[in-house]
Amino acid sequence: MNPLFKDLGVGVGLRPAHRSIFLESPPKSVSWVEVVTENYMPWEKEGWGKSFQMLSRIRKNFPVALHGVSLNLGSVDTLDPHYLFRLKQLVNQIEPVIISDHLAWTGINGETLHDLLPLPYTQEALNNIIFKIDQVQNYLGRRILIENPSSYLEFKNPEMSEVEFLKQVLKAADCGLLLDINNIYVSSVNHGFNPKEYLKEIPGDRVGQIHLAGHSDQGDHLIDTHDAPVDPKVWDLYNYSLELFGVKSTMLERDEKIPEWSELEIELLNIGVIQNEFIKSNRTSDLASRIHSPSATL
Amino acid sequence: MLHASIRHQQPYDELFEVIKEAPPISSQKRIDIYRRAYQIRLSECLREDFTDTCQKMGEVAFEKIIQMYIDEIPPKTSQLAEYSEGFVEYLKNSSGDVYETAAKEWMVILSQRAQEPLYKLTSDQIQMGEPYLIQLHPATQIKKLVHTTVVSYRLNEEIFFLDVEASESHWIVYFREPRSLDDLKGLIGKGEILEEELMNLLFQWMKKEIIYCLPPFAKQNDFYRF
Ligand SMILES: [Fe+2]
Repeated sequence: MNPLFKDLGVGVGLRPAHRSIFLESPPKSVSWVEVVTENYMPWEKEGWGKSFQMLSRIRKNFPVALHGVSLNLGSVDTLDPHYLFRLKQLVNQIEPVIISDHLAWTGINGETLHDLLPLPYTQEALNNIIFKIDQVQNYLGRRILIENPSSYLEFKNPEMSEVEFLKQVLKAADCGLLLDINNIYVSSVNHGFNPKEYLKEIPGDRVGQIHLAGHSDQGDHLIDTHDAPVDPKVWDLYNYSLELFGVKSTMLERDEKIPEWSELEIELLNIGVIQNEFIKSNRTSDLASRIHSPSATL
Repeated sequence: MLHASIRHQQPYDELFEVIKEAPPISSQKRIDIYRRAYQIRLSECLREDFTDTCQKMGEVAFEKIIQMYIDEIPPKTSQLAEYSEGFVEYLKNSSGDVYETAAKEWMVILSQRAQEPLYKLTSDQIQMGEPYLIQLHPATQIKKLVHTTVVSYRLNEEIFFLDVEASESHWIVYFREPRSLDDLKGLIGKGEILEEELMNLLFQWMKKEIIYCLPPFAKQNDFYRF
């Protein structure tokens, strides 16, 4: 059976600071890039910008994933038709390999807080977001990916856990999962759950992409700041995800204190190293199990 | 409820009834994480876009006015960058100087952001007889401020300003639409502008890339397709 999503290799969240590198001497350390959708969409009055022109040129050499932060899927507001229209314009021009947004809401009554706010994990909220994702997918004519967000508060009396909610969304909306390993870790510390148990619940065939990022430690809680290298505990969880799901398209997000490209590249290369080690050890264990099985042939 | 609490920077008692109390972090502190993030996000966006305005007003006054703006006018656009546009209008009631500085800063952002036209004819091509239209360069912005009308334009990736008289601004606006040589001949024929005056303006504007020449089939929103 064909997998729902193919492995694109190692990618990076492309930020303006590194755009010229991608334009002038495309790096070999990544095979695809992810950009924040809203930074490239045409503006309501001004239309397309120079950043979009640059992205079109980068697209010549790299598949592009469009990662949105403003679809506002979890809100009770109806979807914003202007936003959807502009998103589709961008999709038509860039032909992205992945389109994603978040399991969150960003505002109500037409106001936006430009933040990813947590949902109450209830049947009502579930039905609402499934309906919205369905609308978006119908409008774009393709499957999108939904990212598990990091969160700092939970609502009382949930009807299910976040991961259960997520699983039901993936199944009912027939969408993919953008699995953010750092977000799981951040939320697990902030809410006191076991991140490995969370990962174990995830249906691997739905994972279309993985995010890795750094966070900041505030003493009694973590904040998903994307301003530091990936934490060793997050690397451990990434290793665990490989055991569970195998190698998936993985990329690094860095939004603050953006280092020189050469420094970021060290982390990117590390993703490849971890993936290769996993593949090698998997082959070895596969071989070992075949040697020890009575019907083995070499 | 959560939205209102974050937006108005006030805790609501009802909110504590729906948020799970999970020590060691209090519910108040959990809400505060979102409230602080909202404030920082918006104020950083404004501070980044209006550094000259901040300098002109002074740190204390600037901080006060951005707080008032954030409190009174919530963002409604899906792109945070567009939030700054409303701030310029908000400053209209401040002193003229402050408003002009902010308006010009926003013009710089727009001039920088504008895409480069995909089809641009060179003077050699024009002299070889290629048909062409004349239009404002996408980076050119024109705005009427308190005392003057100002044009911002992009030349070799740098942004410059030009103060223009009412008559000149009238003709700059005219080139928002692509114009052919026949259009220009028509203007001269009807005596709306003297040929020499028009030629002089076009020469100056062309040199500064306030306007550019495009082939008749091109549209300003054409872009490079990968
Ligand atoms: Fe993420």
